Amino acid sequence: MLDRLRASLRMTLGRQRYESGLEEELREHLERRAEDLVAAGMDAAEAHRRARAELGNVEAIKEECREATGLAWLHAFGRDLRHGFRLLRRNPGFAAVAVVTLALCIGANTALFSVVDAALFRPLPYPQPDRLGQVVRRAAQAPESTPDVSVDGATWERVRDSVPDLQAAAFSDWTTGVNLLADGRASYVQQQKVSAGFFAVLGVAPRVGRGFTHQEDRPGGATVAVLSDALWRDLFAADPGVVGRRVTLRGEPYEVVGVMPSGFRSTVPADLWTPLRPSTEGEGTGTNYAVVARLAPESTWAQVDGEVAAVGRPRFGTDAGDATQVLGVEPLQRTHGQDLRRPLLLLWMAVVAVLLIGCLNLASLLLSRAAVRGREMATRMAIGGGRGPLVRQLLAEGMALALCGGALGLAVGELTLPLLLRFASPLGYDLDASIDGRVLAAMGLLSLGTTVLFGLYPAWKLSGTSVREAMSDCAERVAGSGARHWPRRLLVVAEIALAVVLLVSATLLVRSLAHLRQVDPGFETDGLVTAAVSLQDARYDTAGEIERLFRDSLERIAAAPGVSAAGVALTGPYERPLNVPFVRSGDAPEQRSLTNMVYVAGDYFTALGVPLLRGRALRPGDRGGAPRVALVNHAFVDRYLADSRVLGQRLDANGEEWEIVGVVGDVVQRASFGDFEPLAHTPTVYVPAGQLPDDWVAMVHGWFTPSWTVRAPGGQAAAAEAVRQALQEADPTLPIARLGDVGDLRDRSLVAQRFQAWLMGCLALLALLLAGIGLAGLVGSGVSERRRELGVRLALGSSRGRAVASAVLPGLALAAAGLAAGALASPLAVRLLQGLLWGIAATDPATVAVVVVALLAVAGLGSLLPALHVVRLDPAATLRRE
Amino acid sequence: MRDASDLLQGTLDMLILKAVSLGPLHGYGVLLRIQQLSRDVLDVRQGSLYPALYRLQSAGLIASTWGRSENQRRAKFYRLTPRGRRQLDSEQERWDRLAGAVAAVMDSRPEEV
Repeated sequence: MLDRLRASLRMTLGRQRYESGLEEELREHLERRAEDLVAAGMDAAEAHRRARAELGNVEAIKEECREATGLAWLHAFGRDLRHGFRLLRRNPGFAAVAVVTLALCIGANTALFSVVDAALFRPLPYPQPDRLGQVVRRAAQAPESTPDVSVDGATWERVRDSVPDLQAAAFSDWTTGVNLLADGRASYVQQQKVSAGFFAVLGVAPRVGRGFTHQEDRPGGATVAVLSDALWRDLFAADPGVVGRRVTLRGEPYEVVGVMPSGFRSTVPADLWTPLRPSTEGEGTGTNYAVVARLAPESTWAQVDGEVAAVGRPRFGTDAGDATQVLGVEPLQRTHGQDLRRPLLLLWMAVVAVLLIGCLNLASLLLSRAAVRGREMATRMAIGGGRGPLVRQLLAEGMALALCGGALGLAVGELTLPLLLRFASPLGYDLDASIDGRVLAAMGLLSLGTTVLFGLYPAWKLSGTSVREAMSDCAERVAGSGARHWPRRLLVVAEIALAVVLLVSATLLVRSLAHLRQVDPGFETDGLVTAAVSLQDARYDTAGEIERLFRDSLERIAAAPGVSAAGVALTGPYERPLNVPFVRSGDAPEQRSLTNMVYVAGDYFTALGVPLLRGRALRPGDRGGAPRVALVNHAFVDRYLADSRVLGQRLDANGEEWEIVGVVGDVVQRASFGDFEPLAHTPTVYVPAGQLPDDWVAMVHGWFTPSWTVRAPGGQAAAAEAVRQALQEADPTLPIARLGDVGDLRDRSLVAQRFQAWLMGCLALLALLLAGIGLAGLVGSGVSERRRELGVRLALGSSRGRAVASAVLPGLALAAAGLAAGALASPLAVRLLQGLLWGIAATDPATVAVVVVALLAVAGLGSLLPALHVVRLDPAATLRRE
Repeated sequence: MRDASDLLQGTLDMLILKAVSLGPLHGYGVLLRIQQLSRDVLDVRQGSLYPALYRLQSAGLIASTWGRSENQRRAKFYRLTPRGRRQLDSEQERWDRLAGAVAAVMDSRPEEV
């Protein structure tokens, strides 16, 4: 048995060697036989002839030998595959279109799915990731809408203390860039704050040292840090004795207590971790914490969700709680990357639609080949070819197509993925995507299925017709040859309809992006320089300290040539501002609302070019100790003070009272609360930096990086240099995190929208191209089948223009049908896009115009190009053939 | 000369096994040895020799190696495997019984019936 297995294994695996061995053996046989015959006195040439005759048909013997060893099918398949490739080479046009179609579809799908998989589907890199969850706030009225993953300090404490089935840890779900000094080397690193037990909840232990203790994780606890593996290697050359070493972080000494292993990924990309020290004061008054939790072994999601909901209403700094929201628990797999979820799922649907179009295209192409090859097949059957070999050959052809398309698709995917990742990198997610073998296999099977299924159509069709009928010429003579084109026409109409839906979606997204880019900035964008500087530094945690820094640096900057005005603001245009709850003085606490709050210093509004509408501007005298004053913007007046006096109105916010002394124009900002568009004129209160409460100063600098804003009529490069120098002189250890102009800020603020719009646009163009190719193929085969009829018409005096028109019109009719079908289907797609569209209606006339024009252009081109072959028809030749 | 394929089904396989059992042989050698052992009575049709060799090899009854022939030419040599030896023994026994039976029938005289 073993012998036998070994023998056939050896033969099967070493087919090539085996083939040449058989060849040599037979040649050897012939020579020996001829020698023996010569030895017996025969003439040499005659001997060779005789030897060959005695042996018989060498090919037949080889075939018998193969059959004897069970290699027949392998050999036949290889032969068919080679034949398949030969056939493809013989029809380069068909092969190129089919292979390129497959390659583009497979490439786009594998690349995009790899990103979707990395962001949404792949299990998180922690032990038992399906038991990890996050505490969320759900809208009480719409529990299905995207939940909010941030909670305040009081909520965190209640969840921690009263839900026994959760092993929970709080953390802040963002990082801040901070200056780190270690062994005299300074570096700019991303710091994330996490509470005691964070690493244990995720189930990843530090490779060296330990995580944070509860003593360290409370206000006033020891200043300790855990390093990432990369930072450990970079700063300490992977020294295992690093525990106990000191680093300087934001001007404060921190002791290293641990190092995470190399594969560890936190919820956001971070270089080092420090204790969160959650409390119900300071940042704990707002929803600034996230909570990750591991379910106890026996508990279920529903049970834990109920227990968390029973903790109470989410609180927003008040005892009353927030009646519009309920607490709950969602799997971490769902909440992680939830901002990306909808756009990515939409893009994924779009790319699957492109794949569908590609498959329809391929099907249509193969059907057209079936029509052309009907006669070849019939001939082969007539001379006794048999259906078996025919089917096998068609299979092999399909396989050759799928192989070429798949290989090229893999290459396209490999090329596209890095582009896609670079394009997606500003979204701020740590996407560890690589071409996914499963997707590739799925795509391969799909394309194989399509090619094989539709490739077999001719064989199936032949079973319906008699060989004689197919052999006869009459099929070619019939002018209409209509009925058998219906399957292809339907395929092409479906393709066009899908392309229309994608085109509508893409145009709406692009128009939304354009709308957001065109939101009135409210200031003069040209000739501005902004410099962001992190003040998360122990030396700058009082209002007096920052006021001194601002005054000192701004005086130097303003003195530089080419600078007309300079100021500082906690957040600038296109940035997401801090939002705080406030009430008008005298109102009940229940009437609290949210507003943006921005501290400013120097001539901030003059530098931006924002007009003062009423009252007075802020003055240098509005400093610490003087009565607290504020400016509000126009949007604030509109929303909150429409029915009351404005100037002289007092506001209670963060425990202080501010008197409104003036109103300024609106500046575009990223929305952080309410139902505003992503970029909008949101209500804002501006307060002097020097009048802030001290505890507040340290807190906001943990979240925001203030920017120096400089009006530079004398040229931006010189002003940027002046800013750099002035900051260097004011404090040589302050690192500038970002130096640029406002255009950068605007682009960064729309990065998610641009990602969606561009990607959807590319996919729509691809879809349009494929649909155009499909249409051109259909019109083209129509023309070639009607060559005889059209030739006769030309010979009988029909004008070439009319002949061309008669070929083009069916194409345009199909395009119109596809357009209509697509228009009917589009509202469904538009519904999916809700929440991503801004400033345009779904029935936006410009969108409709773009779609119709683009489609008609492609349809016209796709119909006209193949129809032009009619012009080259020679009527005389047609008549001679008749 | 008689064509061996005229013989009973399976006889060619048996003859090949017997031929290579006497020592490794290349394909043409198998042909010559059968011819020689049968005193030129049996002539194996050359076209059916190689498929038979491959069939036997695939069944694990013979094995092949490339080597040098008597005149230093490269050739593929077939030899009997242990499995082939057992197969040959049982074929031999079967054949002896059959041949004896046929001979007994053919040698019978009227008075023996």
